[in-house]
Amino acid sequence: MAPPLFNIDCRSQRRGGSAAFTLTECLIATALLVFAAAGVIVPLSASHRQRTTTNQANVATMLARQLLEEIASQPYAEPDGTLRASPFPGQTRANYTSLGCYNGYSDATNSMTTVDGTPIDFGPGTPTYTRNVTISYMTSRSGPVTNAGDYAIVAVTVAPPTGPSVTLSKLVTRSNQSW
Amino acid sequence: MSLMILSLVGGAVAALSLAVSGEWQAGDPSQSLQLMAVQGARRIDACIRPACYFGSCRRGSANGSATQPAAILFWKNDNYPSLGKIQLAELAMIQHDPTTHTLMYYEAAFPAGMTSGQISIINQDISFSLFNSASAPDDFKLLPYVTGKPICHNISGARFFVSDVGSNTQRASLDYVLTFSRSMKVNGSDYNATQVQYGTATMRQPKDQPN
Repeated sequence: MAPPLFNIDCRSQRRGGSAAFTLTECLIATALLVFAAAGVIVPLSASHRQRTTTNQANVATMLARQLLEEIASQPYAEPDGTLRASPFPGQTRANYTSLGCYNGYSDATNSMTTVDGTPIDFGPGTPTYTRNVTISYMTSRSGPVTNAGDYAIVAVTVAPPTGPSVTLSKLVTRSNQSW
Repeated sequence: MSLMILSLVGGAVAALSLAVSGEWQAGDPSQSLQLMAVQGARRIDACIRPACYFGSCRRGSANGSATQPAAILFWKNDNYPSLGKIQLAELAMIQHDPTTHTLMYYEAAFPAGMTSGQISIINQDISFSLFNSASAPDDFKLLPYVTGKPICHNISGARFFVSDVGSNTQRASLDYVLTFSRSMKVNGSDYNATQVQYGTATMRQPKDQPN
């Protein structure tokens, strides 16, 4: 055993002045403390990751809801009754004319804007989220997917930078109303 | 040497504990803000989706610096005769109050004891020009029995934008940006948590422009 550095422990009297806290004992105690701290840090780190994932899922849900509502503002079909599977050439989100124009639509947070064209400010350090839209037409509520039909499933998938994607779907039906 | 090492380790453990507690404290307002933001968005959706037509809209600003805070006046239903015309009790307004950091919902609420005859005297037609005028949000609050109630707190900024109003193809939508803020002390320093809620609320069955 290494020679004592400080003769401050009562053990020195019991042992005839042979030992106090030695450097070795201190290093062993430190190592034990480090192991204990590591045991605490691991669940804390997992908790932090979980919170980050939850935050991202919340933002992804918000973005998906927004786009679903925007799509809900569109008529089911073009004025002549035809259904679109993609936008007309040159059409952009600002002037889409029916639900189907959104099929295949994609954007990311660094290019997202409000409907009036104002860039969305998610704050500093915001990770990139991507949104994708698919429109699937069906001839009945539970029927197979076809090229055209009076029922459509609108699915918006938002992929956060980490963790699982969020997909929100809405069933839309053709109505007789003018809009 | 040993005491120095122990002191260093002790200091590190203390710093870790402080950081962890700070993180927990800082996380609390963020989480509660998220819940508030979702709740606020759902309340706006619930107001707008069944509505019939948008009237005067003030855009406001997401950071709360606009001289005129965000406000949207809307025809919430067509329940009273005559149909196709706006009556006082069919109007509602959502307005941001930057002073109290609150989103307020205004509508005419008649006392429970009021007879239908008394209500019909007060529940007069509102002209479309009045409904759509720039001063309508202020004028509406001065009308009899119009009262406000908070629907969301901790909102430091709000911005509204309406689109497709009066369109005979697209349904009218309200785009909104709500900035939620909450301050608190974390380890003796001021900590400000902010959450931006961006959303769209679309009317499901908009009506033609009221007379």
